Amino acid sequence: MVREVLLDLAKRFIDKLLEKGASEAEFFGSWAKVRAAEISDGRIKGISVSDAGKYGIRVAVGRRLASIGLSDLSPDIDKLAETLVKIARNTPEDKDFPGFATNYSRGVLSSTYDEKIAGLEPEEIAGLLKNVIETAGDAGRGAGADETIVTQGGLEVIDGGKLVVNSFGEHLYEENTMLSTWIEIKSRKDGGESTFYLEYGSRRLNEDEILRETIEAAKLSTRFMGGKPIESGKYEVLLHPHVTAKFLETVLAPAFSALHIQRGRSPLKGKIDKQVLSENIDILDDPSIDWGVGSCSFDDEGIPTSRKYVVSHGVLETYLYDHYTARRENKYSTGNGFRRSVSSPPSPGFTNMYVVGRNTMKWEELIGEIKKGIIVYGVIGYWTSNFVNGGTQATVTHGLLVEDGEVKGPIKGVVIGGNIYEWMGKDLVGVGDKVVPLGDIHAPAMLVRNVDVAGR
Amino acid sequence: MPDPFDPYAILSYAEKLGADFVDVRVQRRLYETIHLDNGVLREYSIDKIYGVGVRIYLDGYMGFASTNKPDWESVKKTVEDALCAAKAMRLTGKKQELYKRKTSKDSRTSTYKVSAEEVDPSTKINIVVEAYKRCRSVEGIVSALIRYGYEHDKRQYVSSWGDDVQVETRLIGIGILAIGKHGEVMERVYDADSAVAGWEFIESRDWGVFAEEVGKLASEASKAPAIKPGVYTAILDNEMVGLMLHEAFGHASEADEVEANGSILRGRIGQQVANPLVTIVDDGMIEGGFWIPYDDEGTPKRRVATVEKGVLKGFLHSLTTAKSIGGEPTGNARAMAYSYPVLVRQTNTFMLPGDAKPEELFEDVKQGVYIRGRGALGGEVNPAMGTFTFIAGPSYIIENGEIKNMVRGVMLSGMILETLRNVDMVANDLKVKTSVFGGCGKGGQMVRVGDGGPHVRVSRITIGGGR
Repeated sequence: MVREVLLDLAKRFIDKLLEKGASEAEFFGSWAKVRAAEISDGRIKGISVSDAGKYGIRVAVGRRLASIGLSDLSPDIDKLAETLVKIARNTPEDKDFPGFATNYSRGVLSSTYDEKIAGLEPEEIAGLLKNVIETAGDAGRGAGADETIVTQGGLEVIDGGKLVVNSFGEHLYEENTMLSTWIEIKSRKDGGESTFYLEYGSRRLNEDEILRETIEAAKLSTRFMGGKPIESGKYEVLLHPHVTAKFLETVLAPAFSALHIQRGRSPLKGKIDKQVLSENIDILDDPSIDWGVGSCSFDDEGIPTSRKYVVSHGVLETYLYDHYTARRENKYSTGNGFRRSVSSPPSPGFTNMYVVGRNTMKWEELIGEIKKGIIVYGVIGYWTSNFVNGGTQATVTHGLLVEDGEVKGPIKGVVIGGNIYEWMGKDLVGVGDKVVPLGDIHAPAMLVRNVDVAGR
Repeated sequence: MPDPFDPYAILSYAEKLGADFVDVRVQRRLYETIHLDNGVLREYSIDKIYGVGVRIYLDGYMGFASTNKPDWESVKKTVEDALCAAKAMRLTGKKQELYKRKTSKDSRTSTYKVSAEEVDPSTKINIVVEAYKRCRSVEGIVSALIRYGYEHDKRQYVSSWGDDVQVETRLIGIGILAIGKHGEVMERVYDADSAVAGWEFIESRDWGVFAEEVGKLASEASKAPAIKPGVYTAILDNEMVGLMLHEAFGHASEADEVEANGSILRGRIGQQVANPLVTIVDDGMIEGGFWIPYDDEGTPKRRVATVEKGVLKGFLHSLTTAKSIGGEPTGNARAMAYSYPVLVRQTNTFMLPGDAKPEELFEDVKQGVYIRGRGALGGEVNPAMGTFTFIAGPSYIIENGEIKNMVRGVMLSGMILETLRNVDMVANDLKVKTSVFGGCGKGGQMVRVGDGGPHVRVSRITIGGGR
């Protein structure tokens, strides 16, 4: 088992680092057995398998820090420990460094490991994907397309886990599984063609759910043929839950990080107990969602996770802390320290970000509210939205024009722009009743007015 | 002890198990990061990877497996896994053939004078600290992050055909993120400068000046209004042209997209897809760009013109796409690391320069926008729907040929088959850039790329953005 190898490495590294003059050390390891299949033009193009472990070691000499990230499972520990301590000695002191996190324990427990995923053989993965391809084809034709194919896509399953160890003799590990699939479905009808892109992820294998999502996406792939830009102006915009999630991930989630608050680059600085979003909005950090992509019982520095309101009735309740940012404010970590890579220091972030409306409307009711607007099902470039000021933008690839509650036809190639605090504040018209996961963001549909649309 | 990642031992083991074709990629990579956040050293890290990836073809089916466990039993298991994956394709998979090209045997190293691995950590930290101080000295800057990055990548490719290619590359640079605040409004500007080089590149520049420039731009941008959404005439600077070509055209010209039926350019070879002023090139060794003499299938990276005088001439290929849709391998099969199978990727995408002087592009623009690349965040395309987008850095309104006030949050959006037809002037000033901090993402893999071009004028393009 890679986990045992990593645990053994951690102990040997930590002993050696202390011997070389480190005051403390922290080891973070992760391992993953990955099996993936890739689709091209409706067929499976290749299957790949990998089995790897990687780990990072952070070391402190007093308040001077350095880190190393490795994938080598039989490293030259003596030499690497010496290099690491030497680098640390050369770095400037971080006067706020409180030491590495201690008091490891588990917080909320949820289901994160699915034996079925762990046991999937390459043939079964290929079989599942074949089923997805055929289901998409049938559903597209059922929705009126002459032809529907999955042009590109893939399915990946991971059986892995994480391990955290410190020089105070503590360690914790957690195993998890993950299944993700992404497929692009293309439909043709009367010489026109359009696509839809499905992204799906869960920690468990639920074939029925995957096929349901496939059918939905295949039907949508028939709806955007001949899309064109519309006139520039102000519109109402109804964001599909996946589109809401994409914006939230980029422009809102990072603003809750205590690191960004302390470094002066979040617009939520100084806003605790203030109204920052509409009264209709609640936001939770929820690590307890069964099979949620971000569910975990402890964060990447061994601190227990907990379910909590970050925004309640639109009022900012708390920031998200890791050990470092919490100690700077004489607080305890909220269990939200996550690492960008094995060697990175932790940064505060959500486990699962769960956004929900207090008064909600059905999807059809939301459409019925629209006088002149667009329903946005697909966007590109949303990730350029700016958490520093809430600036929110994307180009619409899949949209439908709506007038007086009636869908008029497809649109594409327009830029929607505005500010997330206005969209989820004074300009929020309605929130959908279904909260839908996309990765670790769980979001509803949102109907927003006064959105800038750059079109023709 | 014999090297467990000996590619020849792996090759013969796979062939002994009955593989029709095998290729082996061994990679050793080091990435050094220094990250100074508001004057505090947040991260000094060194990341190393070492591993092997094995691709096997059996009866036309492809299986791939990789490992980083350096013992022969694990390596053998990896070969068996690749074979098993190829066999698992028999019921549902797509058969593929490889284009048989000339055997490659070569060993290449990118130019450098001083290896950054030999430079003392404190020297590196001092440069970053000085850049931070200079950035924060600019009025209105409330937060700044400085990054140093260095990548040393060694790859070996060995195949059943007798190929043996070794490529060693060094890429180095510094990036600055400055956040300016004016009243309640904050704005960020990020810029980086990188080169395929050693430590001498860092020594050749005054990073304090660079940091100050980025700081000033962020400070000014925090005072600038958002652009009024609409359709504009746009003049794109060298960086923005590169970004636009990469998104608007480059991805759709990748033959795996075409093969999958996922590109709007399928079936259009020989057709006019851009203004005759436009020639688009993919070149692995252009100055200023990333350096790729061979791809990850051992194919020499040729300079390819995908568009010549506005006409679509061909696609970017791997060995399999060249065979399946016709064409020659162009050296564009690339993988992020040993643990990923290859995809068709761009290398350095740029437009060839024209005749006009850059200032001539502005002369008869009554109302337009000068789209600047400094601080640009990148772009994205949906090659099947034919829509692309990219976001510029702080840009400027043009009125009656003159550059006027700054605007921020500028997002451009266009259609692949339309926008390049709307290019109506091309300047003579070619520049290409790459970055050690980023690259291009596709199918979950990030690879280093470069892009650029001359100043270009586009008569009509949709511009909007956040505020």
